[in-house]
Amino acid sequence: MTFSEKLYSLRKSRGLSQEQLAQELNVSRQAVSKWESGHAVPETEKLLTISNFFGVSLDHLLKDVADTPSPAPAAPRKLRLKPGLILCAGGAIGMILWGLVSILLPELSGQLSHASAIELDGNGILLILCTMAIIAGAVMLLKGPKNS
Amino acid sequence: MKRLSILFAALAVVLSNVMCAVVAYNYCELLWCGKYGGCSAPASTAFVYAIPFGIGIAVCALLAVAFHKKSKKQP
Repeated sequence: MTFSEKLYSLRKSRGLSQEQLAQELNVSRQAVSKWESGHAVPETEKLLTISNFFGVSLDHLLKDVADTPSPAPAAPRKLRLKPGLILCAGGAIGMILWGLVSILLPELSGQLSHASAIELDGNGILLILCTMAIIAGAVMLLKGPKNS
Repeated sequence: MKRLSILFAALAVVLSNVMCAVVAYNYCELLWCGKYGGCSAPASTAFVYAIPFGIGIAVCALLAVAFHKKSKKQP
């Protein structure tokens, strides 16, 4: 496989359009189109960016070895950020919703308070859970994906 | 990354508004309860609600700044 074929195959495996890939790599769509059609080859800096983005080595991108099995592309950054994003945003949204419910529907908030089976107030438990979710999600997001 | 930055900035803003509303509501309720309802807790107890919201706001703001910096660093 040539570089252009590999680039096309990697892009398709991620479900990205040329426009989307161009945005991720901070180049024009025409540049990506030229690379995939074999009319041009990216400069070294862009090759490194492509290699990092898809999680493949430069050897894999540039060497034209027909039978070399392509390594499984690393999970896209977005997928690895997902659990942290869900926890953090979910916690924040839960907190916002609780706040609105406690103001607009105080009876419901009172029921939640009395529904608690343990000493701690039901509203307090919910707030603590939301806070912990936000902090855990933030830690996961800030830690980020480990570089291979 | 830029979208995540905007999302968390928006969440921080909304959380701050909700925090003000919740604290104010509970302050008034405790004030009334202290005067007429026979509650013993002072009205300032309502500010305890600001703690979890404050943590949420701080974390969301931190994430917004972190993602904004990452989006600028990206080639």
